[in-house]
Formats: sequence, structure tokens, C-alpha cells
Amino acid sequence: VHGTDDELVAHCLQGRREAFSELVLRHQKMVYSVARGMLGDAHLAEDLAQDAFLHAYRGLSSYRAQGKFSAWLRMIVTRLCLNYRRDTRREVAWDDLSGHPAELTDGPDSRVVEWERRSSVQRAVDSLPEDYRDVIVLRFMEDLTYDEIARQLGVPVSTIETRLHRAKKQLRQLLRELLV
Amino acid sequence: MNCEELEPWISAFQDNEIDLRRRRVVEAHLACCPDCRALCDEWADLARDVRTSLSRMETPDNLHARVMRQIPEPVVGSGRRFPVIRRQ
Repeated sequence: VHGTDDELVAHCLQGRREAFSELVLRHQKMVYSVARGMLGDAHLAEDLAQDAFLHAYRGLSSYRAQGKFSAWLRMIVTRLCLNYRRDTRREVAWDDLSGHPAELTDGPDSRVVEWERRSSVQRAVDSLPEDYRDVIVLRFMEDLTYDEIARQLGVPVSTIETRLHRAKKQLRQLLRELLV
Repeated sequence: MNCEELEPWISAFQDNEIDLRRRRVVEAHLACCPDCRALCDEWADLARDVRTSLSRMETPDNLHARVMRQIPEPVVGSGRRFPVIRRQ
């Protein structure tokens, strides 16, 4: 199945199941990564990622084709993560790093050093309060603007600015401790 | 404004997310404050580190299959073009 995301959505609405399969293939890395970044738990992230796709499938008829399917999907997974945390009030630890970041570069030695550094940064991000973790993930992993983050999380832009500032200060301190 | 008060603005400045009025204040301050220039550089390094480290994760092998198991096959001749997921 070929075409833009919007074309695939149109195929889905005509009952072509394989079109949705292609959409999952295209966006599963983003959906899973956002869930894992926000929840800090690989297994939970997998469950939430699955839920996000099912929500998307059920809601396809409400999607307005404007070439922004990935943004629409990101909104779904973000809201599911926020709802999950609100309902469970559970702080989870990013205690396993079995899900390797994609695209490690260079040879074996530098890969080890790079992996250790990435692991330290991930541990530091994981230890942030969840409000701070959310903005760090959406800003630095998803490359969203302050305005886009505000819309995803449903808070004012000024709140995003404050949270990011505080998150960076905490991260800087944590990394100083982890990387000595 | 002193350095501490300006810090949140410097953060937004470093993210290129600041309005023109505040940008001018920050630029004037940075021009004469080596400590805040160092802070700005440090946050730029931090942003680069975090951006690199938080690259998207490889997805679990079975995620796609798990999702697609929940998506029903269209029923031929049912008159329904868009298959409905039954809640489990």
C-alpha cells in the first residue's frame, strides 16, 4: 500500500485493513518512543502504544486530513499517557535500557562510550518529575515548539517555558553527578 | 533584572522561543555577563546531549502484530465499509 498518510487514512475508511497496517509501520517508532519517554517503562509503553493505535483506528473518521496525521497520533498517545498517570498516580522508573536507541554510529569502542553517555542522560531524564520529563521528551525527542508542546499537554505556553527551564536546571545538576 | 531573574529568559532564548522584546534584553545582558554566556553555552551543550540521547527507540518486535490482531478483517457483503473494533 502506497501513498501519503492522508491517502492511507482514506483507504482505511474504505475498509482496507492493510492501509492501517502501513500507518502502524510508519508511526510505531514515534508512538512507542513518546510513550516510553513519558512513562519510563518499556512494557507499559508497549501497552499504551497499542492503545493509542486502537484509539486512532476508532477515531479515524474524525481525523481531518490536513497532512498532519503524525501530529494527531502524537496527541493521542500523549493524552493517553497523561490519563494513565492521572488514573494511577504511579511514578515508574526507567530501570531497564533493553530498548536500544536507534541509530548508534561509529565503531565498537565509541559505540560503548556513546551508549554509556546516552544511558546516563536517559537515567537523568527518567529521574525528573513527570511534568518535566514530558516537556523534555516533547522538546528534544519530538522537536516540538513551545506552542506545540502547550497544545499537546493542554497547558499555557508560559507553563511550558517555566517547566523547560526548571527541567534543564535539574538535568544539568543530575548529569554533573552521573558523568563525573 | 539580575542574572537569576533572567535565567528563564535565557533558557527560552537558547531554545529560540523568545519574543523580540525579551530577546533584546537577553542579548544586552549576555553581551556584558560572562557567567550568563557560559550558562547559555552549557545549556546548548545539554540540549545537544539530550537530543542525541533521546533519539526514538526501536519498537518492540511484536507491537505491529499486537495492534493488527485487534483490527478486524472487513466483512464482505456486510454493507459496512469500515470494520468496527469490539471492545475486549
